[in-house]
Amino acid sequence: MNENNAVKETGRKNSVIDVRDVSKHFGDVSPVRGVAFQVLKGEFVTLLGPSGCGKTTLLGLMAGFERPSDGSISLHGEELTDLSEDELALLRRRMVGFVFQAFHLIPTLNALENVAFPLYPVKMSGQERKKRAKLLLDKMGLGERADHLPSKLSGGERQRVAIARALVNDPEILFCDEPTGNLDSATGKEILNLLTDLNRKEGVTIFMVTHDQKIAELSDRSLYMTDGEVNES
Amino acid sequence: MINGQYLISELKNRRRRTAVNIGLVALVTCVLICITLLAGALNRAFQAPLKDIGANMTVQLAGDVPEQMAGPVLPCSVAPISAELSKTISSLPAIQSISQALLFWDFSDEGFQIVVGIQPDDRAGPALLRGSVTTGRMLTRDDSSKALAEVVWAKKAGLGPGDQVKVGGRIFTIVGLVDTSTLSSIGTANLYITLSEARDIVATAPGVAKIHSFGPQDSNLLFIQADRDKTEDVAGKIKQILGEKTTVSTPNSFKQLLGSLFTLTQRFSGMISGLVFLLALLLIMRNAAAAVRERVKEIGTMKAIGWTGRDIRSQLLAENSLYIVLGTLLGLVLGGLAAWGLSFISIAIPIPWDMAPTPHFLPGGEEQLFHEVRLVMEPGLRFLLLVTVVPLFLGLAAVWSASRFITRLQTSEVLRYE
Ligand SMILES: Nc1ncnc2c1ncn2[C@@H]1O[C@H](COP(=O)(O)OP(=O)(O)OP(=O)(O)O)[C@@H](O)[C@H]1O
Ligand SMILES: [Mg+2]
Repeated sequence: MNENNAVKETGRKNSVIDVRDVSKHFGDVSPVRGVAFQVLKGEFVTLLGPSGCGKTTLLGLMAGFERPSDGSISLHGEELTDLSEDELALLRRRMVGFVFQAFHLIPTLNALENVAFPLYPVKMSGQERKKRAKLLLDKMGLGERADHLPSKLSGGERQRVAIARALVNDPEILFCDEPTGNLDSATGKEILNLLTDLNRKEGVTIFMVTHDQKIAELSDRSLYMTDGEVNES
Repeated sequence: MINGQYLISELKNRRRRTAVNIGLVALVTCVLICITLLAGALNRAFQAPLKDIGANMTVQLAGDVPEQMAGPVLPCSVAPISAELSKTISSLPAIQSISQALLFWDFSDEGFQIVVGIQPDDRAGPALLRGSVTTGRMLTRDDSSKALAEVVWAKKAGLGPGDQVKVGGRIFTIVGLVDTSTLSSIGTANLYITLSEARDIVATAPGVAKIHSFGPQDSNLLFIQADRDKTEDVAGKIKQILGEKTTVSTPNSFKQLLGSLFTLTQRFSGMISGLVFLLALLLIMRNAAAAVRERVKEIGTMKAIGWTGRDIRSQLLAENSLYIVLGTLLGLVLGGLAAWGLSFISIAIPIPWDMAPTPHFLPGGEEQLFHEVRLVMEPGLRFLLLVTVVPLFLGLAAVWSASRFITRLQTSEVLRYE
């Protein structure tokens, strides 16, 4: 190992997310092209860019929903390309939370059950699961709504349930895909406060896709994506 | 690991899907039950004419028509079967019991009567009439000059126990009346006497001697109980022994005798039930697979938040087994009710003339005799396994393969808008 490589390695040791020359092609379309960057532990990073530039695709690659056509990604030193689909799921269970732009709550489960949902396959008493879910719901200010089905909740309430769900497994990394995109600005602000609190007080690493320049200003660092390529600000 | 909470929520909050899934399985199970039970009941109905006389085969030999209807004569459908040949037949393998009887027509100045000589102790044949004696008593082996009279015929003739009748010119005393309507019409008669006395009468009758050589130990009707699955085999061997003119009646020959109609419905019902079964299974499989496919998005979410393919598959399997089990239970109840309703149907099986010969020239002689049989629904263990286990197994196989396919899809689907 030469010296240069050794320096790179130590840098990587501190990084929670390491994206190396990642590309993704869907036939002729290449929404992600040779992207490389790192995110450090406890950082709050935003990814900005015009619609259709490949943000969601990149996020999906980083969370292991999809495999890159080229390059590699590691989370906490674990190479995603080395893992099977099931191992990827288990890795997400262990250290990743994901907030979707479209909530994706389970329609047949109430708010509390939705929050506890990622823990269902985990060996744990129902009581314990409920306790953890309730705690997070309370934190999101939704304690009163625990037994409501998603269809009976407002958009902002649904997104808060989704955030509580993303946090129920105590993740080290939280991926968010425009978490406020579907909400009015007041509700969006509330949600954002919750997330920044999480980052500041509990040291959760946050990687967030957003259109909103104001949110970018709140973050530690912003990345800009255009035509599949990412640049630091 | 299967989560009960989620399972119940899915069942409860997706009422339509739950109802469709359970209803479909129930319907399929119910239809299967009806068709299969009905086919079985029809099959058994064809055995009924023989079963009621404690046999599953009857044997008779065709012969010449009597020259003159005077005194005791043998109808042309029941020529003598020699004692020797009867013995050969009884020693065939797969034959459990054999009972001989002798049927003849007795003409006299006073009129005409059908007489059957029976062995009162036999386990098959008209000896089973002992269960249907309405007044007086059954014949016994040691009776001499005693007769048992058929109740309707006796009433018409104003006869009862203690009265005397003439058979072949000899005097017999009636000891009892018997109701033959519970029996099939095979071997039914106006009067029953012991086989040995019947043999005496027939052996000395000039009307018989003119056409047949009748030995003192001969008979003309054999009632045979043979191993159920070997009846056709045995029938063939008996035909070899007795020759071309033998009529061996088996449940199968009944079906053939009764014309193409019944065999057609039989084959048809077999085909239909096979078809329905296949269709039903396809439906169940399609539906189960659809139930999984409809949830691609949800499954994507599950994977995205850390459920493994195995977690998802076992959850889906549990959910669908619950549908199928509940559906099967409901189907069993519905099918049971339907089968109960069907069991009130009875069918009339025509009895061929040769098996219950009456002279054509007498009033009523031309009338077709029918044997009424209630359809008996008899579900067997194998049948229950068929209607319960097979749908469950195939339904789950469909769910498993569908969910396997889906859990292998990439999780990225879930990122896109609906
Ligand atoms: N599975 C796929 N097959 C083909 N093309 C795809 C696929 N997924 C994404 N794309 C294409 O890649 C491009 C980038 O899509 P992506 O969803 O990543 O954009 P985005 O930056 O998230 O946009 P938005 O801000 O509108 O959410 C689009 O042109 C899209 O059509
Ligand atoms: Mg997007």
